[in-house]
Amino acid sequence: LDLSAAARFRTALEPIVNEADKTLILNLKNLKYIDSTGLGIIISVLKVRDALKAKFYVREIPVSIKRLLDLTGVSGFLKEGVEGEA
Amino acid sequence: MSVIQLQIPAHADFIDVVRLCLHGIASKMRFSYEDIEDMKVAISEACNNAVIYNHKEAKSNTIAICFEIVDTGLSIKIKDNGPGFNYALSLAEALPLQDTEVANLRSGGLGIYLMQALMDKVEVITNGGTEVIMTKYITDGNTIAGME
Repeated sequence: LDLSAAARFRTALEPIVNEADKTLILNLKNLKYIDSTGLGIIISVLKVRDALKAKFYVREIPVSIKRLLDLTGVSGFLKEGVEGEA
Repeated sequence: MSVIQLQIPAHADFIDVVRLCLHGIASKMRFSYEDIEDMKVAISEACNNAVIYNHKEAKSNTIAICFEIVDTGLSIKIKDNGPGFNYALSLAEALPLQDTEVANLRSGGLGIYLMQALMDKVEVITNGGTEVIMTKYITDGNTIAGME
């Protein structure tokens, strides 16, 4: 999830990010790479969902990705949610 | 010192090529898996900035990447000829997210912080373009392969 993939990711999120009555779950299981571009998008989603008071969970974060989320302080704002709640 | 040079169009689609090249060089130098992953993110951040802040100025713009293999580690220079931005100020202000309300979070500015956090040394020279020089030292126990 880098600068070249950012536009596609934003486009994919666009129709669903504002659906306040649904739970948005981002599964990162197959994510191999992320940099500040991808982290920026996740922060934007966090802000939109927070403003809507809507649920947003991030699951199955690979170790290498988790490290960058921890380093940048993004981890502190992410919730994994409870299985079955979706 | 061994030098490997690479030049790419200043476009996001080619930053993965820089990562692949770095992966090859750093693997050959026997950097650890974690160090290689760290360097990949750092080099991409420098290239991201070169693309974002420069390529609109001229279609023919390129980014020159120079890998310098020395006894102590790997030095990577990322140079573009665009106007750039105030790196010195950004370097001084680069911070991870602070404990605050979600609504107050900034979604930008993490790239420069990551570069600093993931590399051992980051320098920026702005003189008719922008040159970022980032260094990762090889840790004891690892040897630089193929340099004998």
